[in-house]
Amino acid sequence: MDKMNKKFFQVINNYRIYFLCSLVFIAMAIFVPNFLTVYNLTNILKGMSLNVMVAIGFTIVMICKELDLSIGTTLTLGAMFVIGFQPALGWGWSLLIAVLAGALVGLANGFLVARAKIDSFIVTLGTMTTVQGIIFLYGKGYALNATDFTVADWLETPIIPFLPPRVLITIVLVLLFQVLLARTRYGRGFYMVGANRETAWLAGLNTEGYVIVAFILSGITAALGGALFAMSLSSATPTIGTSSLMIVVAATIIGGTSMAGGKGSILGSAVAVLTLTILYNGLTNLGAGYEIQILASGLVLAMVVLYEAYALYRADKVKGQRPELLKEVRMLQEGSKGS
Amino acid sequence: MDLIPALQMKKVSKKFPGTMAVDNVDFEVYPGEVHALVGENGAGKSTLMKMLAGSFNDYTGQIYIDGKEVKLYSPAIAKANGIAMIYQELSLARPLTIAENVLVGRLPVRNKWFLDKKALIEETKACLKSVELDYLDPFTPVEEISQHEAQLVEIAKALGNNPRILVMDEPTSALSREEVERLFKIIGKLKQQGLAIVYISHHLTEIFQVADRVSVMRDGRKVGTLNITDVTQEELIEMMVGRSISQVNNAADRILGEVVLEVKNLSRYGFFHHISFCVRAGEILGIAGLAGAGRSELGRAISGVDPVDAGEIILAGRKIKVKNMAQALQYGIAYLTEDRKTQGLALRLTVEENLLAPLIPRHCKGFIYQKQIGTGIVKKLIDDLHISPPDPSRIVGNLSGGNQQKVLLGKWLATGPRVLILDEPTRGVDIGAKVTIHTAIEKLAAQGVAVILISSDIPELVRLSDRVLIMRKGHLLGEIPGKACTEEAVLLAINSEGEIAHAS
Repeated sequence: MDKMNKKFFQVINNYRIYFLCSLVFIAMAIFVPNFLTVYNLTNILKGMSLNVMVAIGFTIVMICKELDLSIGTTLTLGAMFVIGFQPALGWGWSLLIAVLAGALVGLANGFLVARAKIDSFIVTLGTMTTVQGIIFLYGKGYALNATDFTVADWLETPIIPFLPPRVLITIVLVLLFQVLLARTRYGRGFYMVGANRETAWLAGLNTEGYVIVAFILSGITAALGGALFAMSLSSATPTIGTSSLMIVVAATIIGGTSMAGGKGSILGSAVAVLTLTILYNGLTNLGAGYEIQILASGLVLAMVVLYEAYALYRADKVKGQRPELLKEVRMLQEGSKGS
Repeated sequence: MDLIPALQMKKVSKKFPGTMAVDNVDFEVYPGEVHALVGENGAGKSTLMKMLAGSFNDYTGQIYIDGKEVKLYSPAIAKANGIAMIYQELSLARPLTIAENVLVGRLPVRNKWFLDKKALIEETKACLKSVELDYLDPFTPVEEISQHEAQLVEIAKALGNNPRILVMDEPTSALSREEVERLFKIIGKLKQQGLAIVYISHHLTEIFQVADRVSVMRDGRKVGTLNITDVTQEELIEMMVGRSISQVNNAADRILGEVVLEVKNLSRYGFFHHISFCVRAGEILGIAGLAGAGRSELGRAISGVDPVDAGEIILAGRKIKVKNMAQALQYGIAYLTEDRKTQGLALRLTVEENLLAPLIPRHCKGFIYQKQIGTGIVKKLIDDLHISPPDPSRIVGNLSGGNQQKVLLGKWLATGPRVLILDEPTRGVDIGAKVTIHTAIEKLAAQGVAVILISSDIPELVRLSDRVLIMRKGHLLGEIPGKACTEEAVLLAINSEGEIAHAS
């Protein structure tokens, strides 16, 4: 009985983000007029795409027990480059340049963290600011505009119901990385490196390589997300990625990735971004402003973190308890009731 | 023996900044042999074994495996040469599953890429079977199994690599007596299979049970290698410390005062039930029991770290309620934790800062902390406990395990306790430090402090205690008075199923 309960609790806990997402979705469907329309649902999916893409790389970095604060400015860099180089080079080359720029930022991060052994918080705080500087140098602080608008139309028009190509690309990448991390030997290495770097190293894993690759992936997904987003708008501003950092960090934690490393999933982070996007969308439709949206996502994050702390506290409290002694207590209490 | 040694190290050395951690050591192990390696902390055993694990790429000297010279410059090379290590500090990744931990670095795959779940389960089960843990689900995260199960998983992980040479560094530190016996049976089987085993331990009794030969290290050099049958425990200790050590119980000369602390029917449900005992001023009260008997939990509850569900604590005739450790300290109850690294010491701070940590509230005038008040205390503690090097500004994390433990003890001595609860005060420390800590405990008792000594080191309990309480599975079974207290009696009492002979 106790064991069944425990198992049930564990299942709920492991899949909590999916329950949370369903709950928010149902609540919005009930309380928000015009929520369940094809137009609105497509909008939600479009709205989540950017942050989901960024969350892929960020989650991998966090599974490795590192942090990447540069994702916000890296996505802006991707956006600025893809728009800035389009008039001269065309979409293909400009997209490649944007993604390579992201990879380069990731490589710098990874190298400084893994080889120079500098704390990732400090390193990525530095690259975040440096990249911000490059963006302002490159765009002189102005918004950039593309000269070819055909791609924007293609990216944003659903080819199957609800799913425009930009959303499809995002979903395919999520599934690809989910499988890579959960089902392949190489992917499991990220978890081992995050859970116990010494053990991973002693088992013969290239721990430095893993950390560097994690940061490169983070740079690539951030820049690619930013680039696709800018392409869909046909323009880029130097502040396009400002709100993403906080949302992605919050979603990754809500989605079950542990700050202590070795725990988490891409799918969990993606669904968490979806949950927050649904929340924002519903609140906007109800007439709430940006300030309420931020407040709401802060509350969700606080709730999840509090819950996590409570679960840890409970687990700690009963750790080492002897079941046969508990039985004795129960028998005593029943005995005193009977007499 | 004209066999080729499975492992031969010739004149190997490893230099750390300032010291030769390993200095020109020759060491060899034959197939089917258990070769014990003993020495005080800092003697160089761990460095020698790390060399073998491939942790260094700058050692000097030659290493031969089955007669062939190898350069063990990375863990991967060491593994490829059939060397497997079992570490003292558990090296498992706690959030990950047992299966992934056991098969780390060689997860089975199909189609070159994807994990083969079926093979994963089968191989893990096979590995777990060798340590009789096959009742565990391979997909349980390691953080959800008990510490002794984790220790056995660690062993299963090492065996799973089919090693030729197996190095065990303190493999029994988290195991109960039955599990130690089980481990020795496993070692016996491995010997028959022709494995070469290096066994590192502070427990000399274990070494006499399991080893064929023993090598002693001191200050980075090898003092000698002997057949286990040619040496006594006392001789080994002499070789390790370079002097002889007396083993006398001074309990008889102790003068006991009034009852300082009395515990009546104390329970924390699920951990320990209906515990009653008292301890007098100047007395050392031992508490013996197997892992999980509830000894540490009892100590933690008395000192306010854990909550109490029922019962009374009476201090010097007054009933008290201890809600937290700060309150316990005000009452004069101090608790020395069994886990010095994560709970006991701030490893990145200095000796002085650690020693004075509990005194910060007392040394404040208003809001301002008066650091200079503590200087005299620090100097006295460093002298009394022979903390080496005697430098208050040293970072604690850089001291040897024994000296760290002395700092931890000193920290609680500084508070001037009436009741001192010591939980495993000498775990993992070398013999020299152990003697110093024992002397300090006896001196405290002589000054009238009531000492409660929780320890798994039975010779230590027998040597120091006036009485020994026996706990089993959360219950207090009785006590063994000092006169009747022998190692055999305590061992029998904590392990047997029935009532104990000397129960009062």
